[in-house]
Amino acid sequence: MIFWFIVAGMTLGVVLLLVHPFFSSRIGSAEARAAHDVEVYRAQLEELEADVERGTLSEAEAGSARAEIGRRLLKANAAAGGRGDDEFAAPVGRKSILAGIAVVVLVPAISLAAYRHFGAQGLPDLPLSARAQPAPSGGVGEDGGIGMLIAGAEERLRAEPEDGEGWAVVAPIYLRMGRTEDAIQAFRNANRLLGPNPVRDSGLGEALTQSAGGEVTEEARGLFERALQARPDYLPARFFVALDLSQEGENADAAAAWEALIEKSQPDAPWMPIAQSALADARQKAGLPALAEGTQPGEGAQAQTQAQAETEAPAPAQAAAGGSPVARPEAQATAGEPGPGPGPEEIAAASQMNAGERVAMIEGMVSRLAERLDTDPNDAQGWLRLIRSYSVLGEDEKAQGALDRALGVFSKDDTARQEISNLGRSLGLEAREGGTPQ
Amino acid sequence: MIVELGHYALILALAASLIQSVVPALGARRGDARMMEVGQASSLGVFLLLGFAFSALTVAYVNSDFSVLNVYQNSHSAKPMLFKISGVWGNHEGSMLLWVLILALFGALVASFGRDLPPTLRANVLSVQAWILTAFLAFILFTSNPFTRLFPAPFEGEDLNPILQDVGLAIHPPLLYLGYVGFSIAFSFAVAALMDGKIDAAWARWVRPWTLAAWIFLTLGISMGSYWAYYELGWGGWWFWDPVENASFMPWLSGTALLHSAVVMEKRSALKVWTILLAILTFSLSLLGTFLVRSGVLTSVHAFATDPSRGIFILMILCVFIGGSLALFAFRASTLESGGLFQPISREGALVLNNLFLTTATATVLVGTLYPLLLEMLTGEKISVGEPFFNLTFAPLMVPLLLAVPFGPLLAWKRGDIAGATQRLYWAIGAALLTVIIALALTQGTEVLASLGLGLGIWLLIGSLVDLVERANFRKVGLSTGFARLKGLPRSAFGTALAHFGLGVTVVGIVCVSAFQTEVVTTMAPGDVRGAGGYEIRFDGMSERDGPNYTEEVGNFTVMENGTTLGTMESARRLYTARQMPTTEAGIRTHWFSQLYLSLGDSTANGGATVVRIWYKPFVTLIWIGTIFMAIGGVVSLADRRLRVGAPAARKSRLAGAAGARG
Amino acid sequence: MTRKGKRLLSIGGMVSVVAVAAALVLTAMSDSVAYFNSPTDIVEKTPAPGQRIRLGGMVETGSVVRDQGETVTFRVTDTIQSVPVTYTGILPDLFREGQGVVAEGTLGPDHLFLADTVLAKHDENYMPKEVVDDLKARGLWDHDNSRPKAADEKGAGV
Repeated sequence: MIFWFIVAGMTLGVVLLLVHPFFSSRIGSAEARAAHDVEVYRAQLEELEADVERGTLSEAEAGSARAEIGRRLLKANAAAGGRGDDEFAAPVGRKSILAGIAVVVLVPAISLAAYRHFGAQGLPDLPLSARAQPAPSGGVGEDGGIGMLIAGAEERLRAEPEDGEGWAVVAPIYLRMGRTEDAIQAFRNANRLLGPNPVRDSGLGEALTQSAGGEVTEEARGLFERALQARPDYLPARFFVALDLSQEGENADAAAAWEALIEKSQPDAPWMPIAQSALADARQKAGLPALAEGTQPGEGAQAQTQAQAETEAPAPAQAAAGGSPVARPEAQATAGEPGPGPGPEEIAAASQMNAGERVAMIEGMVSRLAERLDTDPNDAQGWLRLIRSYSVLGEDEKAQGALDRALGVFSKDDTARQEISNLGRSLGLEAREGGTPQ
Repeated sequence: MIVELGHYALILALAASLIQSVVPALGARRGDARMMEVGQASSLGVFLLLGFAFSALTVAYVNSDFSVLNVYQNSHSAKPMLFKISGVWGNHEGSMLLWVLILALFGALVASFGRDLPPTLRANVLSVQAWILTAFLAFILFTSNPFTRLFPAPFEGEDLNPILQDVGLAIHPPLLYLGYVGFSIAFSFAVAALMDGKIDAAWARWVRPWTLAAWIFLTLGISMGSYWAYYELGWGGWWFWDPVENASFMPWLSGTALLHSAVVMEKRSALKVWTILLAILTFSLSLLGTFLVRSGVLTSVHAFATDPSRGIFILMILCVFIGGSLALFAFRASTLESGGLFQPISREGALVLNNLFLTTATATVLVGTLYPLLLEMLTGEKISVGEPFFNLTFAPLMVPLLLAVPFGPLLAWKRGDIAGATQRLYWAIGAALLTVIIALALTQGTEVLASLGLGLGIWLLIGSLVDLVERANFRKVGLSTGFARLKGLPRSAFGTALAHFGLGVTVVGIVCVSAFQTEVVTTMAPGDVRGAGGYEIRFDGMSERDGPNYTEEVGNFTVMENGTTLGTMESARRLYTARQMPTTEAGIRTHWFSQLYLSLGDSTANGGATVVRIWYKPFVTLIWIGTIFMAIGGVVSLADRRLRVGAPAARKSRLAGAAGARG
Repeated sequence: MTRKGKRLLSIGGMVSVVAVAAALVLTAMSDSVAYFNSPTDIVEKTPAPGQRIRLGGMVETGSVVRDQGETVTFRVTDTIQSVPVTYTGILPDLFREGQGVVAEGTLGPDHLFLADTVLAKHDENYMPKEVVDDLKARGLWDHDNSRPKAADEKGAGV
């Protein structure tokens, strides 16, 4: 609002400046131009005399110049004295009123119209200092805030490159932002200056793994093991050790590692879906029997879907070599479907987030899935995932609603209906027949 | 908000310029003092608005506001503050904003200092200024808007180009623009006179100081650009006849001609039509320079063809202004009164000669610059016009001009006495001949051209001072009276002498470097010693060093003369890590006016040794020192009270009522 | 001399200065202007010795030979033909094998190009514009990747 006040003020100021000659009483008649010529020639004559006095001009030269200027002066004098038609009338004529009106109308019209076309009305300045404070409602402000923090930290580190704490702070942020190489460098610097620490070792290992395109390298494996020696219950390190075992094809060991990881993890840990699918995969390859259904509520169901998906998807160990390890198992867990499943960066990010951020990210993903199903409801796996997600998030009402709609959508498809009602039952939801399709 | 306000101020300035384009000129036609007065108010207002817009953009740069596309593309939060600020005009959009700001500044200066001008002339001039301003403001808004926003704002800016972070580059463009745009005043005065069909007596008195001011800035700008290329590029050259350099050199040449013809017009009311034409041509060449540099046509004719919006827009501006003003000239020139008569041998005659050679030289540079572009556009054949072309065409035209320079100030107006002038130049002639003979003897007759060139330089140096000495008349009146008389001389006489003297200094520098520089390209291993220009240079080996944003391999050298160590020098190959951009840092050591210049090449295959280029450049700094003399000469001349407009100070009572108009 | 005579004399003087300048320009245009040629042009048309030429193309991979001093020989290729070039002096910062280059000089005996200037500037992706234009005109430009087609494979053939 204040912006428009200032704009109005500026416009008004310019208009007043431009029209003031039409109202000013100071404007007299402009003098005749011949009178100007007279003055110029007279000044020239004075300079000439001054030159002669100083002796910089010979009398002979001065004489001829004087004669010439004199001739021009006479001519100009005659023109100036002769007629007054060169003098301009002072009263405000009709035409000048028109000109004044044109100014009053055109200046605001042109500038406001042009500004509406070219300008970005009301977009505030976003200087570095403003972007440093997180905006109240997330979005640009928040991202800018992180960028800002990093820029600030980087500046400090340029000045004091031996500040280990500084490196330790930026390293996980780099990792989260996907600036893998920077993250590796920062972790290494921090370890060099502060000595190793399990969290940093594990972080460096993860960065190396990301950098190697998902392959847990020798060095990374070494780092994870060193972290686990210092802190055996550090689960992220265990995750990557298990992943390495899967990648190496040591399936029996892998299955054991995954199982141990799942046991120790909270049911909602971000790596759980991956761990479960990898476990199932490893057990299958190792020739162990598939896990029984319903060992844990929710998890059992996931394992079951996983088992179904497996027939059509390649094993994670092979897939992981080509892409990001963290992403591939998840893609399988959702039956390799396209669409808004979390990408590798999102999963990687989730593992580094604090609880609040993680929930926000997951909610974002769920709502995207819901949106997609709104427009393209004919996707049984999608519905299964949505129902389960709502249930995990504790939104039973929404889960119920989704279940009802899914049953409505697949009213003709018995297999799908069966699957959906099974899931509903396992989650403790009520399968109400004849839910309305959207 | 300030960014958007700056944007709005830019648009408001366009609206005001549109009004200013029409109303004052209409007022001048109809004899309406109020409508004419709008020009003054508007000029000041537009200048303030553009000043605000420019400040707003500067604030965005200083605060690293990357929500402004232009800032995001051309800045970085880690840039040092000085380069954040110079970054404002270090790019296309910002530099165009600076261009119009300077244009508005000149308009505002005319409005505030032009109160003594005949009102119709002033009104017309301000309207013509507004036409140029409107055209370029529209150009900025439609094709190169510096206030385009970016949402959401990115974390970090894109540009941290190390090469552009240079103090020389921070000052160079504003100086050049002050020169380019300053010529717009002469242009506006010329067009205003043509519109009126009358040249007022005050015309030349006004045009000359403005042209002089523009010329001073352009001289310094070109000189600084030349020195920058010399030390930064590491090629050892100080002028490359590059189209970008020519783009600024052409307005300088014709501006110099304009400066001289304006003298004739002021003193003798002669050469009126020619001066008007020169004023138009000089600014046209400035516009052409802007077009060449800004349209991208130089980088690639094809780039111009694929993204033509900017180029076409400037080309249209170019055609309208040059074509329009020349057409106006063709229609109206005959209505202008012709002025005083003069003999071919006279001060006027000498100045005509000056104009003849300068404009012809401008034309050769123009041909050399545009011909390759036109040929490529028309036939697709690609040629390169470089130094050999200009040496063959430009240099021969300069020699007679330089020979004639000392005569000019010694000839009287109207009818001169060439024999008398020659007589007064005996000393200079003698010194020049002596120089030639000594130079020939020292070089055993191998350097005939260079010896003659040196003689020419000495001729200019001494010849340009003769006028002052003669007018002080030391021989007759003795030292003390002589100095008193010298003090009493008009400043413009000193200005002329200084500027011509500076020209001589530059000529001596150019001749010395071109003829007597030694260049050694050699492979050196640590411990090797090479001689250049009487010095021995020992290569002490390479060392590695890290800068803030680059790593460099530094070649360390020791400079010795007859075995005594004078000091060390270093030259480096730098690699700016972020952009993987290698550069060569030349090592320069100045001894009096001469310089040793070292530049590193690649290391040889087996390592250890490296290719080194060693130049000894005798008197090279004189080239730039001379230009400083010229600029000082210009400033002294500008300070001459006689150049200030003959303000109608005392008025006849008949006009007393009109005094209010001038405030 | 009459006034008319003097006037004629001055006008004659001016015209002669302009005429001399025009003659200089025309001479210089034919003698000191360098024409752009591709390696194929040089192999097929064989320009007269002494004619200044700007030879543009890519530095053939593996062709750069530095002798013990500061003379460098390399081959310039347009992927069809290639021309040997010898140059004494310091090569520009961005002279690289496989990168664009413009060499200015004359064609010596045995089709050896004697360069007195070598240009390769701006940045690591730089191709001199003449080279790009030339390759585009002859369909040797890979528009998708903004680089010469198969620069490395074909160039070595000649």
